[in-house]
Amino acid sequence: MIEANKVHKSGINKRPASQVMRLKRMGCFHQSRLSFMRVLLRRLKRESWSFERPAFEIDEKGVGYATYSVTGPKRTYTLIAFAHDLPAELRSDRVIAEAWDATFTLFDGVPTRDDIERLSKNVPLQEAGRISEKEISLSRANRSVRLFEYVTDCLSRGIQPETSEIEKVGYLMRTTAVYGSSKFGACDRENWANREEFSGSFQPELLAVWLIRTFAIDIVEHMAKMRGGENAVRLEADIRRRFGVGNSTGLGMAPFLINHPALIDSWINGRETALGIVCELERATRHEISKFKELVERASLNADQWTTDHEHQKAKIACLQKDMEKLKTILESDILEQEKPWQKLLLWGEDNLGFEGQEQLVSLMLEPYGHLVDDLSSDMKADETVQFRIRGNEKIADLKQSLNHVYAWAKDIDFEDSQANARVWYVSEEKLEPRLGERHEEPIEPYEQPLAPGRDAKRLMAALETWSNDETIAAFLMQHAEHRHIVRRVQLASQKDYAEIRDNTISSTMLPIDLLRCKLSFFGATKFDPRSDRWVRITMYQGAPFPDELHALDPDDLAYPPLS
Amino acid sequence: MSWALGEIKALSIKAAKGAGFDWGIAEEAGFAVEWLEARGLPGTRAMAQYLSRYHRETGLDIDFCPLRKGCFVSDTNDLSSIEKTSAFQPVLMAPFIANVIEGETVKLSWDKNKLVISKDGVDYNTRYQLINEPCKLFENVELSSWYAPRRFLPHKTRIGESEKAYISILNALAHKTYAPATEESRLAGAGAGLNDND
Repeated sequence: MIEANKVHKSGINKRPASQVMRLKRMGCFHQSRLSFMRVLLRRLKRESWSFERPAFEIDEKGVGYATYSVTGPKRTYTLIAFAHDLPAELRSDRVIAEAWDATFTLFDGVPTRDDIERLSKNVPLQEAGRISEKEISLSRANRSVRLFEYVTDCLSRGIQPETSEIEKVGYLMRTTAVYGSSKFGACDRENWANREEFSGSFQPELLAVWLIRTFAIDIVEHMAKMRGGENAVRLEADIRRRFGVGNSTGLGMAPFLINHPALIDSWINGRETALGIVCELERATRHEISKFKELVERASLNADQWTTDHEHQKAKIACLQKDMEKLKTILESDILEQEKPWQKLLLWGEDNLGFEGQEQLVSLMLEPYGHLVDDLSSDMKADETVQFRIRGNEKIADLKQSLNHVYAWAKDIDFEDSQANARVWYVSEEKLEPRLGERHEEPIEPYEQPLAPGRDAKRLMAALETWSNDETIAAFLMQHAEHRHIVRRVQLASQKDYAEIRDNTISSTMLPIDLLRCKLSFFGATKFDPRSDRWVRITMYQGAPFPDELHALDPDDLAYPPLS
Repeated sequence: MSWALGEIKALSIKAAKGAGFDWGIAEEAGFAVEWLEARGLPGTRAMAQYLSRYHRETGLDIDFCPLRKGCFVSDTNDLSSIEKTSAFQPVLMAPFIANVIEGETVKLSWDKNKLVISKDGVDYNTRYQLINEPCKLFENVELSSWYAPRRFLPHKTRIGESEKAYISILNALAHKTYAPATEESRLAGAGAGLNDND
């Protein structure tokens, strides 16, 4: 099957970057089979990973620590969770917070007592502490106060929580940051990137989050037991599965998509290649059609259950709900019985659905074809050192051609216009986190980060006008070091179709939540709930199996809500 | 306490920008520090010394800048411009030289220092002080072909406590890239609400 895919991949028709790499569309992406959470759970199940909770040293106030070990074919990893008693007034999701309900690290192996002692002095401090090469990730979470208390109360009295109450929030705890890859002293990504179990993107971070979900359940059941004693009950499996892990993601993550062009290309290319493979199929079998139709119903339910107070997102959800109805209607026709059914359906979607509906359709079309597309996930990663070096012996003509190919859209933007250059991406002194400011209202321009590729490409075009085509890029850069950053980027983007976003990232109308949504959809998030135009709450792993039931359940089947 | 290579790479990029380089050169500074440290050379202190002098002396002659020279060598894929040259902190040119040499081995020398560079690693006589404090200009930098060394300095995956003072220098320079916080920017810039309890 892998070989067949390889043959397939080279000649596959993919949607062009000019269509896909637009912020409005990227801000409508949905999770799919290739999302990293689903890739992780498929592997853990396939390889029969085992799970243990070696320690649960948590007192009646909910303070202490617990460890969760997972063991695969070659290695063991351990989530170490520290539980704290956090006064309500200190509970903040913002990155400038200094205390949390719980803090975590994913340890590479099995920690000793000394390791736990060392980490107990550092992990609760998060950014203010230090971790070592033995730790792969660092994260923290806050409780959903209302739901946590409600569930504790129900269980302590021996009753199960109402599913309608669970649906209102969807999680007992939400993470507010998951750091990895050398941050605050953590192990460098290079040290584990070649491990088979972490093939793809963000696998250790998402392993940590999945285990945090179990910890959140354990601690609510523990608190209920402390309160209710003999009367207390544990969550029933079907109800327990309705709890995901929340996550608050702010601007800190938004520049990621711009700062990692090779990686983003690998993600989008994976999904677009999968779509291309499915669209080339001559026929759909009866089984594939019925699976697809069932998942359309379940995705429709997901759209119905998706709530937000954010006006912009409300309108998008309303549009998605209508789109799902249109999709169900067209599926009553014989469109999927025809030749090249998926290509026809995709084109129908482009003519009849909004971006939310179109992108939901793309994700759903991949669902019946795991055997054709799942292997693509192993290529959804990038070694960013490979294309770092500038090819200085190439000619100015080559550079101009690449600029015309990738950045033609930027030519039409007047970056001198105060609306077009309204924003500045900068890093604040306070917590060293990316922020977005108003260029014409705040004195922040001297601190601008290089996150406006369109503008910089246009400046490069202007600088190249006086250079003749047969001169070298090296000669140009010797005189114009200020263009070195964008030249590197143009060279990379000219070789990777989906490396560059075809939109102005400093415009007054740019919505950072579009960048966040795109990234989080690749993680596998659902129920995007923007809290403003620049931060968003999501739910991860809602519906997914827990470690103690993974052997018996299909994680892919649980990615959409059940019909009954 | 130790630091991850990726952490110091990211810090060096910001420090070079803070010291006054453009982003594109700053990215090369990050590449250079990581390359040197991974191969057992004191990239962090070399960079900290050079960047702090570059920052202190506005207009320090960029013709002798090891990063600019290194970029030119790497861009042109040609070592001839540094066969006999003058440069500050010559060790910082090593990663760029390595970009060009492919299977060959070369020797970069200045004063008593002899640094042997190959794709697989570096060798250096540790009796000498590789890094000059304060960073000074060497007018006798030479590059020549050399025979493959019998041993390399051991590769490293972490940066140790001994570099703390230099990391502080890089931190101070990196700090110049951060905008001072105001209460308005805290709320508006990050876009958070006031109450996160739900």
